[in-house]
Amino acid sequence: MNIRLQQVLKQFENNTIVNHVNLEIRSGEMFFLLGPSGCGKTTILRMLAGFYDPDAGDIYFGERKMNGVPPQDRNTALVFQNYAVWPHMTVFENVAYGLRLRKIPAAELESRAANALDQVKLTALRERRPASLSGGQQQRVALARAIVVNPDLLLFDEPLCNLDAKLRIEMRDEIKRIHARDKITSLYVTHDQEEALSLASRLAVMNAGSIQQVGTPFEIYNNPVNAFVATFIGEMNLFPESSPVARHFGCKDGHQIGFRPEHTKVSATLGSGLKARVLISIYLGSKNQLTLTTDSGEEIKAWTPEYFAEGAEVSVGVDGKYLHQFKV
Amino acid sequence: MKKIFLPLLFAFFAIFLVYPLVTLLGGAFFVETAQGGHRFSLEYFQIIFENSFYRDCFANSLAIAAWVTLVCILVTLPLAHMFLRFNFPLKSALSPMLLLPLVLPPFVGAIGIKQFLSRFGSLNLMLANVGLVDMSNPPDWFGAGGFAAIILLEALHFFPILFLSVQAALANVDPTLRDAARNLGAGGFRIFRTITVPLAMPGIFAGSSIIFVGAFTDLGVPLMFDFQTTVPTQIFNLVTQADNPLGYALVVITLVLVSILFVLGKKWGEGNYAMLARSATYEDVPKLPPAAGWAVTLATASLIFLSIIPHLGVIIQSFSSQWFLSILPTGYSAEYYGEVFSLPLTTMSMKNSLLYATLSATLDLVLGVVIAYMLAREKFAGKQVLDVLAMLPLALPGLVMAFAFFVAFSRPILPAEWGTQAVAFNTFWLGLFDPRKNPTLLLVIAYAIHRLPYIVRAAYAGLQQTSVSLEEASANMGARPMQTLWKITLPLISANLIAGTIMTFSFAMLDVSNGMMLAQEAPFYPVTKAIFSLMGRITPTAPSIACALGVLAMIFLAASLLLASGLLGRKMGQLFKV
Repeated sequence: MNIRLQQVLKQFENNTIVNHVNLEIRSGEMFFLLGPSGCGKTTILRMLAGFYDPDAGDIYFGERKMNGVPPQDRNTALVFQNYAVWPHMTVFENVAYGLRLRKIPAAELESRAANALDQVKLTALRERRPASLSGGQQQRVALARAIVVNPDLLLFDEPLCNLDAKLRIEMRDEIKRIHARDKITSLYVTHDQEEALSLASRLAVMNAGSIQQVGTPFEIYNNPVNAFVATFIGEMNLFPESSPVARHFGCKDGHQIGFRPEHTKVSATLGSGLKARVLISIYLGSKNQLTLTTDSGEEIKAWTPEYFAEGAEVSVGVDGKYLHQFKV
Repeated sequence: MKKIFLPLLFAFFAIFLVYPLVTLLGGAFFVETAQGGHRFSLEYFQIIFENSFYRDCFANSLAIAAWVTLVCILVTLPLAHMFLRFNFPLKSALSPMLLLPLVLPPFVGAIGIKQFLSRFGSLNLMLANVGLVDMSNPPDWFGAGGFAAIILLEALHFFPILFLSVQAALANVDPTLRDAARNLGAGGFRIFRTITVPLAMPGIFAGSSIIFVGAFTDLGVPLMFDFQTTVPTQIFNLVTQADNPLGYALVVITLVLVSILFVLGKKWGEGNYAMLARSATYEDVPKLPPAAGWAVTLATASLIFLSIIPHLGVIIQSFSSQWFLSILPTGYSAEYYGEVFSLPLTTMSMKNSLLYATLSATLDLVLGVVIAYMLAREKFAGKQVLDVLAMLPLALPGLVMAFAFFVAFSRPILPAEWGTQAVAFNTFWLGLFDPRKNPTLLLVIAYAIHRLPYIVRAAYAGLQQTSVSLEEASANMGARPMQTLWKITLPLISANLIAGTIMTFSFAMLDVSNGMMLAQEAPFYPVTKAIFSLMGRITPTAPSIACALGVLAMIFLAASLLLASGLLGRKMGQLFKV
């Protein structure tokens, strides 16, 4: 189902949390909202779930306007950050809850719930209570509970941020596999860029209540529209117009210039490039992470395949296609 | 919820909390003029303060309350200190036993203690046997017509409550503050006197004010000793004289005293030291040397024994067929338990108490869930007011509420001048509430209002501990608000609700003030009033039957409390913390 937000505004006590946002989530895609804490991404998710109503603007599910529709009448399914698995019900009852509310006949209910549990590999634990499950297992219950009702919109509210690193990657793969199979229209809210880049069909980067950029992970990484997006996703060397480094690379008037560490070419042979000295050199095996300092005292981050010792004199260059000009 | 329930709740509080209090204040402060109108006046208060008998009543009640509080503080402060800081033999076994006195209403204990301490009671007979007492002129342990006995009984009943709050207050003092004093060279007693007690003072004061109010307003014990010169007994005597304004004024003075203490306690209790962060250090609880350890154990055990003497007296009396001028009964029988179940007075009273307690607990459950849910989960205008109204009964002693209920609901609510419809409404109103006709509805509501703050707090705490996202997840899955309430919210807070309901139920079973004042006719007596009524009879078996009824009540309360603490998974002590 196609989801649209038109000029959506949400304020809490005179603070504008979501500022006239326009957004479209296409049917069947895994759409990501990415941004720092407090940028309004969770507020958008909660408006889609129906826990908040927009103060202005409209939300459409397909052709149906959803303003004022209570949560229980939306057929969305939310995977909560803190799992929100009901502690007084077994794993199976948690998963069956939504089906019972939808008055699904017993035989179908049993097979659908069992199938959902099978999907998240929890079949063996179906009669257990949540208190005896690990965090990762509880989040699987929450995932099964959400997908089993065939929601029109599947919502993820930072579902992995309470899990440890290894489990997070496992769950990420699981979510990717389930989405690839069922193609449920999904909105996933996170501040973790790695999750976003690895799972998103498309993503929107948010800051201070406004959408900064919408696009595929490739588009956003390679063509960030402003300095915020450029530094929020991946790393970016940024220099104001007045700095010697910016002048060296040809910064436009009223702009700042940026380039990513992995696009920074470093050479030991001193050519026409910018002269710099290696300040810190961290060897990481697959790459070498350098902090360079120019004669004017500015620092540049560079990731290179070759090793440079600290103190080495080098020259720095960047291909024109990797230079980004951002309006100030 | 708010749309349906808010007007109903405010109507409920207006009728059953505000209206009685307004009636009470009106009766105390307004004097009828010759023209039939009313004018504001303090003359009733003047009459009371100029009357030496009422002055004596206040002096006695204040003295009783002060002595009880003092005795309790002197006993519990060292006791709580020992229990917190040291290990000694049998400590963990003695700790729960300290709460035993709470399972018996103190006035029932009075029956038991009479047998032991009266002039020709067990203690004097025992002492006479060893030649310490001359039975031709035995000493009067009750002191001044029961004054000392009242203090003893109330102190024995109330000290566990203070023990719990003092223990909590002492435990809250940051151990590193004591370490700092020790580090500078202060000895154990000096630290206790200069650091621990001053820092724990807010908690100690809060606990003491509860005891002071409890002792000041306790009706049962003075009544049992027929000690008439106290404020509660006079209020009780005046309650049925609805046209006598002195009762109103007495109750209002009591209310003012209690309010002052309550405000002071709240102000001080939430005191100055709340900001201090407590550092996370482990505390060493050293073992006392054997001699000192056993001394503490012995002292604690003696205190426990002393505190259950009334209980033992009641139990022994309930089985005794003959107990006169002997240390222990000379004849035993279980027949009084049979009589409890066959006498019309006792059977009716048990039925009544069960009915009142069940209905009030049910009413409290509904009110408690609705109010706690609204306070915890919803936003609406008037939330603060609802919160205050629901907590107000904490500051209203049973005596005050019972009196206000009686005077407010035994009179017409509308002036007769308003015409025939007003008169008709008054007839309907009095038919519903008038305690002189049938106190059932009024008693049920009185009990419910009394315990409402406790159940609201229990439910509110449960809701606070339950993540809102569990309810949101349910709505998100397609459940209507009522379905979410039934399937998610209520099951999750059920332990709190059941425990709170058991507390309401058991307190309603054993309340004294409301039953004594509101139930005027024998067919409506609750158990407590039936015990009083039996004690007033001259038939020789009446005290034994009364005690048998008391033992049943005791067992009942103990079982309820054990059940409640089991369900909440907490120690008994925590149930009594306000």
